[in-house]
Amino acid sequence: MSHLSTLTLNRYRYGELDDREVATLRTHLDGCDQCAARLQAQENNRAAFELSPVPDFISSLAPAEPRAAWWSRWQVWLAPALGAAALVLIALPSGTAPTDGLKDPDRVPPEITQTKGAKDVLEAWLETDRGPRPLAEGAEVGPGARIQLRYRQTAQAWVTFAGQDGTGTVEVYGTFPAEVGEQGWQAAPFALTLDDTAGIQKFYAVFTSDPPTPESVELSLAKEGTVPGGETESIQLNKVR
Amino acid sequence: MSLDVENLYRRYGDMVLGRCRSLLGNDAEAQDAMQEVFLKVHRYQHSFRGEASPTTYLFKVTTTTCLNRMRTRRRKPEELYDEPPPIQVEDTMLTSSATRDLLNQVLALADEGTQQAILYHYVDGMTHREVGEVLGVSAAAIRKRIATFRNRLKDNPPPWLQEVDW
Repeated sequence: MSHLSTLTLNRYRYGELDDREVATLRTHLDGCDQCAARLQAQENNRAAFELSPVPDFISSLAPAEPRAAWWSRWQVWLAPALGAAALVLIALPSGTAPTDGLKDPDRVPPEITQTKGAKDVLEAWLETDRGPRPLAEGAEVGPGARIQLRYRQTAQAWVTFAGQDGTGTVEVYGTFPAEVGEQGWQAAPFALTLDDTAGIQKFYAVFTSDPPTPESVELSLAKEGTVPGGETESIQLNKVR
Repeated sequence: MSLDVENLYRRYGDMVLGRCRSLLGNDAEAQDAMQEVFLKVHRYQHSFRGEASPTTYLFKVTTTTCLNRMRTRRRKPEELYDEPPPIQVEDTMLTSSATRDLLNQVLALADEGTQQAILYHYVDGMTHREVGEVLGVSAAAIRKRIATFRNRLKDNPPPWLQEVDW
């Protein structure tokens, strides 16, 4: 006896079958307890699913039009990207506005209007009252500084962001599809706030064809400062008190 | 205009998550796989827009994503997730334990194209013609792939292979 496939049952639930297919399916369901039970199982899953909230990462993939202020878009990513780890970088509390000068969205500059140099692939930008400004390699930054990473599009499909403090500890912030942004640049979908410890702070962007595991990236960066099979870019800052 | 992934998730997320749970048998990994599926949809949204059936497209992407993860498990067992509590899956043709066994067998014995064909046929109950339509090959080709796989198991056929006949 031929049964209804899992895909057909799903297409029925989502209203993708035509009238003739629906009639055939219903006739089958009337005489087949097994398929009727499988359909009921799908409907039960649906009911349970509707009770659960939409994950943050899904909301972050929603259309950005009209665009919210850039800092509020980043915050959507903070929880999944950074977790609750309290290492060198501290996530902004949800709903916290950035510095006073940036509370007014009208004063917020477009997300990517300039880059600091064509030779770099990874840049770190500091949020200031007058808008973000690029940081040079080795630049000094103080506690509470808000940093945005920007990257230039490469041929690779995925980008993984990570940081390394003066102790050598590597933390992976997250892996994301490498998008093409304005002028070929794109901002990392999160912002970072520095804590009050002094020392070097290195940021990495690792471009790969497939999403790597966080463990493999952490291990490779800690050992070699690069990830085999990927393109590793970095920028180092100097945290001061 | 960007694809509204959140609306897609609200409409089809239950199928994607359920599919991930069915194939991976692990809630934590299923959540990760679901995220990966919607990231792919977001990234390759132009190909998604060309699909007549969003359900079929997402079903295929989810299946491919889960099979990729299972292949990675086999190559890198050190990256295994914690041993999962058994998930009872009820919308497939096979029981959860039979599905686990089938996946282990098929990953060891078959090429990637055949892996999908076997999965769609035995776990999801698709006919040869339906599998062929999903994979873009003829029903005869699917029949041949499945027969080859069955032949490899003939000396020690698992229970699920003897019970199913569709």
